[in-house]
Amino acid sequence: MTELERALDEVTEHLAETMFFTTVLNRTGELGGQPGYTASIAFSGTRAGALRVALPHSTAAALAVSFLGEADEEEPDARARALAGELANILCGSLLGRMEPAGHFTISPPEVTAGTEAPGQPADARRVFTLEEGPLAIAAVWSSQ
Amino acid sequence: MTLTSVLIVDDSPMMQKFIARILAAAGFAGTRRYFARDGNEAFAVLSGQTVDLVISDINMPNLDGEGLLLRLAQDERLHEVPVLMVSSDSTQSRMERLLEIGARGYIAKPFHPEDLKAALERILEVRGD
Repeated sequence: MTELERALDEVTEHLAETMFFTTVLNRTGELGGQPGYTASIAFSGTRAGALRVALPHSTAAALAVSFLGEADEEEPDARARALAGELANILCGSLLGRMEPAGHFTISPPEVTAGTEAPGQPADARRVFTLEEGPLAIAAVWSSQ
Repeated sequence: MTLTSVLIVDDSPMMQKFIARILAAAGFAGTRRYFARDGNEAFAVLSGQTVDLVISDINMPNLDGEGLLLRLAQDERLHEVPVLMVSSDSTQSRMERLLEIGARGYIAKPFHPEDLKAALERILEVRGD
């Protein structure tokens, strides 16, 4: 396992436990082609790269309930998309802090698109976790500046 | 320890709700809450309201968290309002910079709800509540 993969594992498990009050059941999950979202976020500075988070709608909706402590009957799709973006934002910042604690970075706002194909794109590290709420895929592109 | 009112500044409505939820769970359910999506909106709120504490993100459009801190420091009426930064940027350099220019505390996301509660209590204790 590479340092980047190990860092992805650690930041994802920490995020799941602290802000979503859930746990990672395993690191060998599969997205399974369900409809969902991909949130992409780019960063530059000490390192340049990107982080992509893909998850089925069902996972995003369940995580949103865990995060906010309440269901949203009126706008579940919008909330699931927002959740995907928030996940990418927090995971990216946490990963950068873990990998380059003395670094300086500019992080772009997350872009959320429909579909979960993005993790098939080139990446330096890719992990698919199974949370209690369902699968969550994370891919990182990690380049030198 | 009292917290009568708080301004939560974050461009993510979802994160605004999360912080409000954690505040309520931490024993501040009766605290009056105001919300802003960037530093400019925060200043608009602060021009009409007095708050005990500002909880602010860093990366926001228009006026970001660092800009908000600098403007607050220059404002005669608002320069003593304590600001707790809550951000996904956990690099040491960013934390040090924000504390240098006046932030009273810094919490990196992801954080445990107890971390937010502890940071609030530290700020309120310093204030003498």
